[in-house]
Amino acid sequence: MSFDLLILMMFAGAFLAYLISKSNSEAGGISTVVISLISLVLLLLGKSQVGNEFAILYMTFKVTTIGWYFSAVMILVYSMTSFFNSYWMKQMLYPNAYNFLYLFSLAGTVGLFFAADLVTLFIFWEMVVWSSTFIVPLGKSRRAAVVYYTISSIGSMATLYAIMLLHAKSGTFIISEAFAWLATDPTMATIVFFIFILAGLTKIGIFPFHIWLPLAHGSAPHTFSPVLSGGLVKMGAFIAYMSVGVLPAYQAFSGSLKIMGMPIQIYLLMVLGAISIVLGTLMAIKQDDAKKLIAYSSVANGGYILIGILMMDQLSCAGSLMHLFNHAIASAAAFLTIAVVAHRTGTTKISELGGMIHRMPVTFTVYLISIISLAGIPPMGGFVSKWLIIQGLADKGLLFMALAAFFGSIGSFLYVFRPLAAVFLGQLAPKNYELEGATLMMKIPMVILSALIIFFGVFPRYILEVIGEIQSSIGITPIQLEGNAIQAINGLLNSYHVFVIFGFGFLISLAIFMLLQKSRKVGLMDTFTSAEFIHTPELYHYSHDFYAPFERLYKNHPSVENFLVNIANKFDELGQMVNALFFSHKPSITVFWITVVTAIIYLGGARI
Amino acid sequence: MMNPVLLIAIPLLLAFLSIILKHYKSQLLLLGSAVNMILIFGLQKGEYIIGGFKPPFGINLVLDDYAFISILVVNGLFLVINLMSFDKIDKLGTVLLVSLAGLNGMLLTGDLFNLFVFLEITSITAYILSSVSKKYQYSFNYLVLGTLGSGLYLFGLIILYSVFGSLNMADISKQMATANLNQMLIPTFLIFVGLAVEAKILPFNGWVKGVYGNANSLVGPLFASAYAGTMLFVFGRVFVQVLMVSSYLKVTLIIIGAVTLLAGEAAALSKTRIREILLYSSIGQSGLVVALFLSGLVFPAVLQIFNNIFSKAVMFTIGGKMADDTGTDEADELQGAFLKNKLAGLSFTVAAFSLIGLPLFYGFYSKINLLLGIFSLNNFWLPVVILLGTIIEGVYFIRLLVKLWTPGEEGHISTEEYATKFTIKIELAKVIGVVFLSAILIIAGILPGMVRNNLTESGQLLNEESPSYMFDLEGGI
Amino acid sequence: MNLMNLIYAFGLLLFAFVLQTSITGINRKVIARLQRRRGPRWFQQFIDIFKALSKSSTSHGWIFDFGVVMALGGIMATAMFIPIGPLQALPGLDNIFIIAYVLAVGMLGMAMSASGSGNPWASIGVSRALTNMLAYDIPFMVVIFGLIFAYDTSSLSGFAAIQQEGGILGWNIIRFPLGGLVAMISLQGMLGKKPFDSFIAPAEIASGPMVEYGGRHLGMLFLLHEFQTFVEVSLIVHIFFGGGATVLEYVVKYALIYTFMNIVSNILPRFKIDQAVTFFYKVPLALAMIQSLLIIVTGLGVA
Repeated sequence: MSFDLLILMMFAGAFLAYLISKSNSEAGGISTVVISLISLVLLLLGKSQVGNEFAILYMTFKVTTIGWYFSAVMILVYSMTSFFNSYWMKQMLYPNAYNFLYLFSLAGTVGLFFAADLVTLFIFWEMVVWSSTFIVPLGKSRRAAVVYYTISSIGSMATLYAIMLLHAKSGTFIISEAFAWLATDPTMATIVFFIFILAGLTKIGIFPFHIWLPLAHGSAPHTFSPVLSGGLVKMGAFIAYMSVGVLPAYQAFSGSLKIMGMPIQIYLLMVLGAISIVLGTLMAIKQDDAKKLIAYSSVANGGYILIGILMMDQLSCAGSLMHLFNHAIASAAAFLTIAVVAHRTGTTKISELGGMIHRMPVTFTVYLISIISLAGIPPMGGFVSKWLIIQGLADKGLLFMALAAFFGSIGSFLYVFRPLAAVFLGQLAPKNYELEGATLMMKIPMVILSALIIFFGVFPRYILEVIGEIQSSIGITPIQLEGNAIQAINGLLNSYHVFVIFGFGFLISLAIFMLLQKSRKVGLMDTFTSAEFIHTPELYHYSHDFYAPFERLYKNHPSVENFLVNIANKFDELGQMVNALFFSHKPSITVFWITVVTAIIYLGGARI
Repeated sequence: MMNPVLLIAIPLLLAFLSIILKHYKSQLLLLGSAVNMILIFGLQKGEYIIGGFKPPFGINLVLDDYAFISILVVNGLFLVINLMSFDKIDKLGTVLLVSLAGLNGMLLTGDLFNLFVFLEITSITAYILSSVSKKYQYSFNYLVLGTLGSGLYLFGLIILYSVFGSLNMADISKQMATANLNQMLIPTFLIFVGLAVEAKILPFNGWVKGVYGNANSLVGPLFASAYAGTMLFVFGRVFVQVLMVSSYLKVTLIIIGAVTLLAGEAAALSKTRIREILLYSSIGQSGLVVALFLSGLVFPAVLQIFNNIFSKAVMFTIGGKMADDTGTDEADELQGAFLKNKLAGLSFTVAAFSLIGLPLFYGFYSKINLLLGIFSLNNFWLPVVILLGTIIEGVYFIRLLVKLWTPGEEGHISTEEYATKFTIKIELAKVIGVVFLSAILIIAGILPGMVRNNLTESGQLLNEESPSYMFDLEGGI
Repeated sequence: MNLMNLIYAFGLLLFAFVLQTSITGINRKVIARLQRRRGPRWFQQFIDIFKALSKSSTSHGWIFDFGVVMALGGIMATAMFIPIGPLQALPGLDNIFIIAYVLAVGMLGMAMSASGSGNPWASIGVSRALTNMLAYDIPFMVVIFGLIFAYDTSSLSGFAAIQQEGGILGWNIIRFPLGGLVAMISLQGMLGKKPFDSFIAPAEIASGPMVEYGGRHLGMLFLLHEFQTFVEVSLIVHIFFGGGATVLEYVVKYALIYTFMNIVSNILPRFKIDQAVTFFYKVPLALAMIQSLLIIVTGLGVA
């Protein structure tokens, strides 16, 4: 099926889901599964269409490998998450609108990724923004939706400005032509680069635009957080890719000042990426809400993705493109597990939970696999991509970025472990003794995502081959693969072998364990207590202020959120000032202003 | 073939009739506006001399593309709004008929003094309409400022007359081309102020707050769409076609427009009452349109006027209706008001989206075109102002919409129990009306080629070449 | 890679076990002498481990068991990647980042198992251990980063080969003394020795992560500890002390470094956990940044 039909079908699917939901909202929830899965299959089968061009109304499209790749990631995350939709229909104020907007935003992203001209790009971008904006307030916070929209809108209006400016200068909206034109004009390229990429930065949640992620991801409906974090954030990565890859940034900036060997324009953005990594990590460590914690981890991972894309080289760029896939599925899986917990217990607060592993072992396992990938530990996908990014940084000697990357990497052990220890492990509260686990319908996507995380961790070449194609298409050396091994300039990674050795080690260890004397099973309360008597499992559970000594070190940190809120308040005050100055209920004030303005005009005119 | 003077004469005639047939005022009003609508399609473009004296000595009506488009839209909206709020017309039938005559007169006339006369007629009807809210102080303010404005307009006109010896638009325009524009500074500015009072340009618009802020579901949309649209169309006519503006004045006035835009949007941001938000948004939009006209971008300006008046008609109808029913339009007290009024809420949403300029809605088309136009003039600061305005506009509309759709407390899932306790019952007529208007916004947004074709069917607007981003149905750009 | 590699790797693993356990035993004696005691026999550590393995134990659920197996498996896998002098079972897999992160599998497994016991002391210990890791790993990584930039290799054997070309003066500890110092301090943190041992603090949090273990679980954790020590000390030997051209050279260097670290540990008091973080971020991290900047910007010390 050609992709113009696919896009139209997806939009039609959104309306169909709406109609189905009207009669039966749960059936509507199921319909989102069916429609998004069909789209996924059709997209995956349509890989051969790369290079095709088509148009819908006044919008033009071109199928590119990068667009196909991003679409695949996006539809995958959406389709997996959609399995959860039907369980949340009862909680939603507008189940039919939810299903509609869910599929509508998905269709919008696919249109965005295939856009051939800048106006089409912008049209779909905004469509996704407004459709997703209205899903967020169905959850726990109305303010989150407004902040989400505001930040997105700052980015998209900046991008619109850049698009129009570029059109005024180059005379075309066609992406490839307009961007190619910039290669000759470094000043204009710098301006367009910075303004255009702004939309990407806001969407990825790069500092100082990160404040919407914890708000929106943390309080959106549980079924939409995985999509926001795993999917929609990646639209920003796409824009960043366009600004550095399609816009020949390195070519245009070849004459500019270099810092650590990078053009200053690119280096500045990398610094923002590095700040995001550190900040996301530190903030994630101190969160008590599991969803906010994963949201901040998305900020940190967004930093990696941005830095890698900005490098536009053989290693880091490949790592970054792979990382966005790894992060998408891992963070979606993590959010889904939290959704299961929230569905059964009604809370996402880490300090109110504990011992979930005893009631929902599958969910626990999925969470475990996803966080191993998020933290970048082998043999999961997240390791391969982080390894590539760090090897690339080492190749270029970008020390400060590497410092942030290391900090984020090790710091992620801290924050991902926290829900593991306090939500899934530890003492199970008596009120949760009879809790049920995930239903079959919920297990399906979680297991699929876990399998993908492991599969692409062990055989990363299946994804790196596609990334190699992307790299060739914009003229950079593609990532070098030899069978399962990734051959970097300064290192080699054969993750299949790592997996085999790991398995070997595990088998030896298992053998030792099995051969030894069987152990006696005891309960969780039957532990060493320094001879104290304990009766209340909830109290015998370490979950509050998990990293208290470390958190203390930065508890008085400055917050960019306050700063942004202040700016917003300034606008508000400006409005009140305007109101007080000009809109009184006394006509004499207006007469006064008329006099003043006339006088100014008169005096000004008299001087001519 | 019809004479466009009928568009003025028929409402006037019906207005007289309505004084006699007291009980059929509303019906006569509908009859008048419906007949007008039918007449418009029978009109032939051209110049019509009234009274037998040839211009520049006599009065003429000019029906060019610009006038045609504007009367079509203004009469159409007038009819739709009256249909929607039929119950509110009651005794206002006569006034509304007179105002229709006045509005059509302003749009059609080719004579500056005649314009003044129609402006006065329209203003008087507006004063009366504004007093429906029973807030007489605000109506009085409006009366004072409106009179001051028309006075200044007349003053400027007198100076022009003494210089050129003519009141005919075409004639003055011809003579202006050779005049010293710096000497024209004062009359031009006085005319600007006169029109700006009605067009709600800062700082001449102190009356708007009291009048728009308390308007009901009939008067609100009428003011915000038919009246506002007409005033902006007239402004465009006078400042693009008739008067030449010296570059000093032009820059100053564009800045006034831009400041109006930002100040209006900022003021709207700080408000929590629905109608106040809408009225400040209207002020901002007027500033934008004025800046566009003065930059010489007629096509985008017209697109933007359409966008504004269609959206505002929908939003003021619903906002006014909610205030009529509940006695308040404080957004916090109306949380979740759309929960029981989904269609009306949807129309309100579409209108707001269109006004912000989100894609798939008509407003996006006008936004793209106006940006394109401004960039083609090598003006790089005005787009910044406009986009900043768009961001602010988006923020307060989304904030409002989120509140009206999804009631709830922070930290808790949105449920019905947080919704407003007021019952708001939006009648079928209003629902049909707003759905009709918002459907136009959607269709025109998805198929903008249609708008383009209608606007440029027979020649260009005001002989002016503004670049446009031509969305063709065939695809391609 | 084939079966032979695996068998070879297993052989090296056994060698590593014997090596490190013996050295641990010898060190117990060394420390005893420092403290004017006689100390246990050199093979006491073997006895302790096998005794623990043979005893009965209690289990707090499947994750408690699984975590231990995963931890030991992960650490043994890591140990197999490490070349011992010229002996290398798995060529091409000694990438330093792979080692650093596979090591983390073991850590994670242990942390998971400890938290799975349901004992809050264990969780507190894990929280401290992870915080400690955030402190010592970053200066170390920064130094390694500079070295990778300098030599365009990230494999242990590659580092060793480059240094062996230049004799003792070619060792990175001589060429990059600042970096070497940082790495030694970090090693102290990795080994969990004083002053960075607050996460096991027996008197304070009842041995932290280890509080619930006994019998085979504890025995396996002893094993894990030996392998972990082997991996960490080997990293330093390979990266800063020129590895080993022969097995003997390697073993000597290894034993000396470990003993040195152990002696240092025994004459120092203990940092609180936040003090450790502040210390690592103030001194070693600054030194590491200076070292790496020197390498990247000036190339000072690079052959």
